[in-house]
Amino acid sequence: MSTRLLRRRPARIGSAVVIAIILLLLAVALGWAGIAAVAASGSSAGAVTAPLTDSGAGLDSLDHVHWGSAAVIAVGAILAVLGLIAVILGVSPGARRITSMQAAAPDHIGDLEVAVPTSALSHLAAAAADGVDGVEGVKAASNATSTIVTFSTPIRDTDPIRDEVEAVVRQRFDSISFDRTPKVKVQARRSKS
Amino acid sequence: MRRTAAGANRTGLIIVGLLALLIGLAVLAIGLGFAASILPGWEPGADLGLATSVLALPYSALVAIIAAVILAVIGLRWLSVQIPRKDFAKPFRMQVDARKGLTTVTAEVIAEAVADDLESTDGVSDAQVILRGTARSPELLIHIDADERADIDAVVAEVADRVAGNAALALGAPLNAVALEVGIARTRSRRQRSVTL
Repeated sequence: MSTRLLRRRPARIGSAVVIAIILLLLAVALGWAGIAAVAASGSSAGAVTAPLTDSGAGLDSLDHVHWGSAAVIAVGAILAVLGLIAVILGVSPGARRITSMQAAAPDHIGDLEVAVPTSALSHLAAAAADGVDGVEGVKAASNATSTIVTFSTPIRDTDPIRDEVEAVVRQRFDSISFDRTPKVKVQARRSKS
Repeated sequence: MRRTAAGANRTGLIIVGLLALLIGLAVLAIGLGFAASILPGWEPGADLGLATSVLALPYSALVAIIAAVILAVIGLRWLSVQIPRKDFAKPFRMQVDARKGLTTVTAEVIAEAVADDLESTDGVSDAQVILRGTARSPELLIHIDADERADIDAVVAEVADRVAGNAALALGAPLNAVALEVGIARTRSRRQRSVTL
């Protein structure tokens, strides 16, 4: 099978929704100005040929604004920056959202693809760390190649617990046949007692 | 697991982004005086009348309305494709000879049966299944929520061997592809996992 069934990279849904909404707002503004201009022309013969400046939206006043004014330059800069961000979002592949696992395909499966989402890596790491004595609370954040575990403890000397948490999380990850086992980094935080 | 409009989103972002970038750079070039040498008259001291004169042309209101409709259609269409789709296979035609009768099975029914089979697996608390492809070349997309303490490799092996085997047996054909996404069932706190004696 040439294409993967599981999506590895973000689909840019949020960015696309924002741009689609901006397009819709632009359409509403243009449509409103156009209809206002047509309505202002009065006669049906003049309605078709009405210029947009008849809309009463103050488009005539743009004639008195200079290209070098701060407002025009600011609009140009904002457009250029937003455009650049949109192009980068479109071109860059984005962070991988899954970590692949190795699994042997039995005879009844042509192509077997197994993966763990990065959110699941965090849950696995947090659950493993939560079982260590002395750990009060755990948070974990992961990407496809690494996991950062942050735990809180009321104990003053956090080093032994940190070592134990790191060992337990590593052991948990080593028990799973990842293509590339995620790296583990552990941070300790003293909880207020 | 569900299909999204990832390709369309990226293409749209690139097109809209390039347009905005070019317009922004052009405005900046004129406003900062870089364009005056190439386009005489387009200098920082000039007013926007050179560009806005098109708004005073006849028919410009009509053109604006048509442009608004086109933009609205593009915007609405783009928004509508953002809803992730399961895209189940069309009903499978299982009969060997259509003259002797038709046997049709919907993909949702088989997927539901596979999900039930998955949920009876040790260490699996929830499962969603999508069946795509054809009766002769089925593709199975599976998302399971495994228990956080489960042996993930054992769960994967069980799903690949037993559950996928059962699905292949039911369909009467080997599975062309199986994609398995292993999530972890969330347990909110340690208290919910423990029993006090």
